[in-house]
Amino acid sequence: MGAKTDVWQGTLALMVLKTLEALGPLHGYGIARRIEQTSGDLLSINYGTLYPALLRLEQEGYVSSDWGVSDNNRRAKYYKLTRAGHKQLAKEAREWEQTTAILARFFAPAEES
Amino acid sequence: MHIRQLRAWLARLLGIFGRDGHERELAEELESHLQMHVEDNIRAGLSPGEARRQALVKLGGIEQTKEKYRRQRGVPVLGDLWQDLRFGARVLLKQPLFTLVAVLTLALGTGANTALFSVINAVLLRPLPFPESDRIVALYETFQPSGESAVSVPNLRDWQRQNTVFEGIAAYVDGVFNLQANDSPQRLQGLTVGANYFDVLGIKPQIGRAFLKGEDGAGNERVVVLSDALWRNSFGADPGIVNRAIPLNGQKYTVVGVMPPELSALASTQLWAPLVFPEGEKTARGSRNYYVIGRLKQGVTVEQAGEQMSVIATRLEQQYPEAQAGRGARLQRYEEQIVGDVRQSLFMLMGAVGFVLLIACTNVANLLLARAAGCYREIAVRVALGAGHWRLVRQFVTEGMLLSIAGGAVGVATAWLALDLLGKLAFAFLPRSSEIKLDLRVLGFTLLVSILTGIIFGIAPAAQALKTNVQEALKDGGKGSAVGFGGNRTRSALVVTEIAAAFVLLIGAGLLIKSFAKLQSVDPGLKPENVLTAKLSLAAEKYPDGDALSRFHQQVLERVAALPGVEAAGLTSHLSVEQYGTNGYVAVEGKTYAPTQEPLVELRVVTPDYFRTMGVRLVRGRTFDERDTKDAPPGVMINETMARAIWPGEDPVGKRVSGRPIRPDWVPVIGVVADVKNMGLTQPPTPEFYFNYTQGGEGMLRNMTLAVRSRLDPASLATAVRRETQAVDPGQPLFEVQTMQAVLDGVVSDRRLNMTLLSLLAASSLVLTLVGIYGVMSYNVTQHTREIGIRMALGAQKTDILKLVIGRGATLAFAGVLIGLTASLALTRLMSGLLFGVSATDPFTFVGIGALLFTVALLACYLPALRAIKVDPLIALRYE
Repeated sequence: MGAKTDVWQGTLALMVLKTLEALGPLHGYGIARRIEQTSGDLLSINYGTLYPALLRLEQEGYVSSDWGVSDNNRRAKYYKLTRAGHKQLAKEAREWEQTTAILARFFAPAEES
Repeated sequence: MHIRQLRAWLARLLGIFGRDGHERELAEELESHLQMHVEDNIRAGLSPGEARRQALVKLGGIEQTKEKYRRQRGVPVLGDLWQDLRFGARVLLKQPLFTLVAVLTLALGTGANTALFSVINAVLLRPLPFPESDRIVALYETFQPSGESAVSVPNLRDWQRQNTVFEGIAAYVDGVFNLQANDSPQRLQGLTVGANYFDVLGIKPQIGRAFLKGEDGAGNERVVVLSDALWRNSFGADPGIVNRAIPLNGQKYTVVGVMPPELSALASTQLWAPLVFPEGEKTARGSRNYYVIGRLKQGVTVEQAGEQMSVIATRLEQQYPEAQAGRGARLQRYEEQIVGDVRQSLFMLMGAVGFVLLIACTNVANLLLARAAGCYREIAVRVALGAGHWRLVRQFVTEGMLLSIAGGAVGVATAWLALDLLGKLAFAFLPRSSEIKLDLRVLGFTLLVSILTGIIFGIAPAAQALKTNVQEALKDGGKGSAVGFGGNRTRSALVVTEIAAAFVLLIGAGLLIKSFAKLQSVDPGLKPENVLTAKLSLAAEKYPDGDALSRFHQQVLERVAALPGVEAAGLTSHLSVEQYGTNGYVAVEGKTYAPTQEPLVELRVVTPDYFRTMGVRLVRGRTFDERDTKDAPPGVMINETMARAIWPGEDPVGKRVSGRPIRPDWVPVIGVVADVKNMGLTQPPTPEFYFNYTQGGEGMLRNMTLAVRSRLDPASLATAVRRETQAVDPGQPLFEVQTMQAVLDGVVSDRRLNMTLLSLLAASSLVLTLVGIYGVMSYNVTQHTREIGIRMALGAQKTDILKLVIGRGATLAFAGVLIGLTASLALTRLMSGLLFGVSATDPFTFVGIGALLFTVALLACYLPALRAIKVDPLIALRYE
């Protein structure tokens, strides 16, 4: 499980950061629903795995959290990107694009020379 | 490490603390998450119940999420450790009986190990308290075929002159020091030593000085150096002692220095004086009376020095064939000389306490296993709630550690008491015993042992937990019938191990007990009952020659013999069972031997009544009597072994021999006496001849032992004998006053101690094993009450059930005894040096111990079996 989890966690973290950038401060449930919807329901995750990931981002200083009130007047913990989180997201997005670009070349139809 | 990661770790470290607040916040967050999800689900048209169920499924379980969250929050290992420790302590305190038994068992194991390790640490591991003590060696002369002797003065001088490997070589020998104390004379243990003796040891006095170069020459020898112990006990640690005169041997000796306490710790020597060789010995190459130590030059190995000493010895042999034929030189680390032959005993005992610890560990492992099996269901529930398997393993190991460290702590206290007890029993025979203490190294050893044992016996229940199958366990209703009656393999393996280890210990103890019994039944060749012995060392200052010595001895003998109740009294140069004698080669009239093949003979000087006093039987001829005066033609008496060795099948009386060391002329044999175990009780007697007192040289008469046979309890004579001695010379102390029986006991006391200690260890291992087998069998019976009930309901007879339970125990015992037998066959060989009159694979002992252990094992099964047959099928079938 170990290595796979790390990859998954890294990807999940990136999705969380991107979600928070797009939607602004949001609670855990909202983040989870958003990720599922964005993935076109291709990605089915246990929502529970999100919370350790959020905690880790908070420990690393990329997100901060605060208790607030939701649309339907429910107390919920809201997460938002910090300045470091914005930078990290930009960096990781760049890296991600590079990685996919490189991989894309490998998977492009072979050009006979 | 990346700064962000560092920050995260810091946050996690802090996360270990303040758990409760975090827990509440997490619970609240998850609850709000669920609520939102439930509301969404209801809006989507689900019933409230179904809405919540689906939200929970989607979340992946509240408890599981919390557990994953916790791992991220703290540092799992540290946080868990803290949690495990608290949990473990709580669990252990809730089961005080279990905890008490486990801790005491472990304390026995670690305590015994700690005590023995402290002894080994002091005696074998710590270097001698001298600078670069590995450079100090003891030197001996050797002789054919295989013997060692002290060194003669001319040889010592040649060694000193010819070697290039030693910084210095120094001689020393026991000296006679009778201190005139205020009330009564006191005999001191002292050495006379070469002036460079302390340089060879590399030790400097704490006050005053050591001996000066040349101070060991005639004329200036009346100076002494005191030991720290003597200085403190007899002179009140007076710092002004230096240059003061003290009354020794009826003379004034000037104190020049006091040695540091380390030297007192090493040996019981109380004082040192310069060694002045008597004129006669300076040229007597065959008169080997001095012990020798040397300090190797920097960088010279013991082997290199040994080679050079062999070369020198060969040269001397060629140069002086008369005295040196067959003689060589040998050296040995001084440390080994001091430690002597206790090494084997100590290692044997260390092995034994190791086995006891192994048994203690298996017992506690079994206890934990039984308990873990009891919480089979609890474990399954915890796994179902998200506890990782490794997490459970860690918890078991932590609990084991808690137990083992508590056991270790109690063990240190036990060891402290054991050392106290050992001190009373054993330290008299142990070299360096005053250095034995519980130091940091010993405590470190105990801690290490505790941790290792914790891991060892924690692993078994942990492995069990790893195998737990959640589904099965939960379905099973916790009755553990998944484990068949034939058994839990781990537990059985532990019991077998335990029996095997106990078998090895019992065999060791059995062999030592049998050896000792054999030793006790050895006929020493004399009758020790009702004999009192005492030693007399006469100083040259007061008794300069043979006449003076003989006058004193004669008067003492007459006075003692006249005491009421005394049957006979005699003197000997050394007691018959003390193997430190004088020996030499003899020439035999009418027989020729190759130079190194002459008979080697022990020599003792005795007064005529000595044989009667000791109860040594006369076999042929006559004993010495009043006819054998100083001026009469001399004769010798010999023992039977000598008679057989030299004149097999002939009457030796009237045959003539000549002993080179002290009697070069032909002397006739006048009588033959029965053999005495002259080399100690374990050795066969060697050829021996006795000279009459009147023919003894001055050197042999200076240290004599008095023996008195009485009709009364010999110990009651001690005061009277001392009074009579002091009536002759008020300044003359009598020392080592003890009964002959005590002397004989002393010869075997180290064996008695080995036997006692090993038997104690073996007995405790037997008890532990008994408890272990009982525990496992009775647990088995409890676990299978229902199965037994079913069997009985189906028509099984009580004897069938009895057979089932006892048969199971018998199988385990048989396997254990078989493994123990194999291990013992390999291990007892190592202790053959400690045995006497019994082989290391003595079949009688092996069979006897096997039967004993087997019986004990069956006994341990018997009670649980009885309980099994009392099972009422009706109740058992309902049994939960």
